[in-house]
Amino acid sequence: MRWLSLVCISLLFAACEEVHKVNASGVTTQSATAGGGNIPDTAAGFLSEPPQFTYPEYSNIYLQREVEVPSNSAAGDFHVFHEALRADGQGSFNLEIIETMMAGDTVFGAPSADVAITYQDQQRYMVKYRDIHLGRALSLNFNWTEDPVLQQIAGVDCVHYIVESVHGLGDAEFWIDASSDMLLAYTMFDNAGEVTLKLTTTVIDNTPVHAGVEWSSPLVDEEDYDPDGSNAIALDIEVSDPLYLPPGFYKKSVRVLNSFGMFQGMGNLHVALFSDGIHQLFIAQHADTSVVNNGGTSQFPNSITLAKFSETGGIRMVEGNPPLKRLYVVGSMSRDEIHTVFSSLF
Amino acid sequence: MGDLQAPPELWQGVRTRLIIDKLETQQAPSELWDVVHAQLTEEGVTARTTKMFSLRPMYAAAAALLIVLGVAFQSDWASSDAGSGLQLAPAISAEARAEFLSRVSFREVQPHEMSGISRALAASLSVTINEENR
Repeated sequence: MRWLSLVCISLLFAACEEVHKVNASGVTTQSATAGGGNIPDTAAGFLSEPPQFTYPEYSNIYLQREVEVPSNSAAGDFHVFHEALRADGQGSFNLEIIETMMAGDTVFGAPSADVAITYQDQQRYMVKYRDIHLGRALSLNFNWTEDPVLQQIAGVDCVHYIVESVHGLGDAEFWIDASSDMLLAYTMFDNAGEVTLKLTTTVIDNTPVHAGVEWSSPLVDEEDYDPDGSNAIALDIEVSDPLYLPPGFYKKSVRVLNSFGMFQGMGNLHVALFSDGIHQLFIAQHADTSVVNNGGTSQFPNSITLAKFSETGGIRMVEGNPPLKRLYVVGSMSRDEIHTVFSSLF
Repeated sequence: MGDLQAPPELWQGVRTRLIIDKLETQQAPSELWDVVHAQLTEEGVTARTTKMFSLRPMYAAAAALLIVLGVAFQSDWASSDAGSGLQLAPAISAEARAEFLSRVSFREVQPHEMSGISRALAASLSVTINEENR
C-alpha cells in the first residue's frame, strides 16, 4: 500500500512538472521534447485547443499548388503535380492539372492523358476529400504544437503547426496564412514517418478573373444516406458496418451515389467516410450480381476469405466480393489498419 | 455603543473560553476509557474501528490529490466534445485484431488490377495514376 501510494504520488508529481506556462499571446507552452518521427526538436508552443482553419475553395481566389505523392518505385521518390485551384467564393470551384514531374524526372512536363483524365473526373472529390479539412475530436486524437517562428508560403507569412497523432496513426504539419487562417500547405505522414502527401501553395491571386471557367460538378447524383430506407437513390443491399475502426475514428458522413448500372450487375453505391479529425477512411459497398464469392467458405455468413490489396499515391485500398456484393476500404492508414477494418466487415 | 451594557451571559461565555484556552492539554487517565468502554458495552453500544482516520496524512493527501486531479481531467475531457454524442472508436487488443485479420487473406496486386471504384476512391484522397500508363 505504502509502495503503491508513493508510485502514484511520483507519477502525479512528474505530470505536474509538465504544467503548461501561458505566454503573452495566450498560447500555452511547454518545453519541447525530442519527438519520435516527424516532430522537430526545436518545436515549442503546445496548444491546448486546436486552431481554426479556413479553406481556399470557400473564397474568391486563384491558387497554384504543387502536390507530391509517393511513387511505387523502389527508389521511394515522388511524383509532383503542379495544379491550379480556382474558386468564386460562391461555392463553385475548379481544379486543373498544369504540369507534372513524375518520379525520376528532373523537370516539369505536360501531364499524361491518364493524369489529365484523373483531374477532370476527380477534381471535385480531390478538393473535398484529398485537401485536408479539419474534422472533430482534434484535441482528443492529436497533440498540437505551434512553431513560434512564422514561415513563408507563396510569399505569405504562415503559422506552422506540428500535429502528432496520439494513436500513432500518422503525424501532420500544416501552414496557415497568419492573417486569414487559410490552409496553404500541409504534409501528411504515415505511422512509419513516411510522407504520404505533401501540398504546397506556390501562387496566390486574391483578385482573380474567372472567364470561361468550367466549374466542377458531381460525376453522379448523390445524397445523404438515410438508414430508414427513404433515399431516392435506393440501396439493394444490407449495409455491412465495420466492427473495427482505427482508434479515435468516428463516422463523419454517409452518402449514397447513383451508380446503378455503371458496370454490369452494379447497384447504387453506399459510401461511409470515417475520420479521426484529419485522416480519412472510406468504406464503400454496392450490390454486385455479376460475381459470386471470390474466396472459399468461411464460418462467418456473407463473408469472404480472399481480398485484393494494393497501394498507390500513399493510399491503401482493399476490395472483395462476398456473395452478391462488393466491398471496399480505402485510406492512407497503414496496411495493417486497412486490413483489420476490412476483415471486421464480415 | 453609548450606554448599552453587554448581557452578563456573554461575559460568562468569554470568561469560560479564556479559562479553557489557558488550560494545558492533559492526557486522560487510561482507566477512564476502560470505565467508559465497560459502560457502553453494558448498554449494547459496540465501538467500531474507524479506518478512515487511521490513514497517515501522506495517504490522505495522495487520495485527495487523486480525487481533485480526477475531477479536473474529467472536466477537461467532457468539454472537448460535450453534448456532441461523438463516438470515437477505442483501441482494441492485439488478440482481437488478430482475430479479425484471421478471417480474410489478402493478395497484393498492382494498382491497375484493382477495380475502378477502388481507384476512384483512392484518387479522391490523393493523386493516383496508372503506373503502367506512364
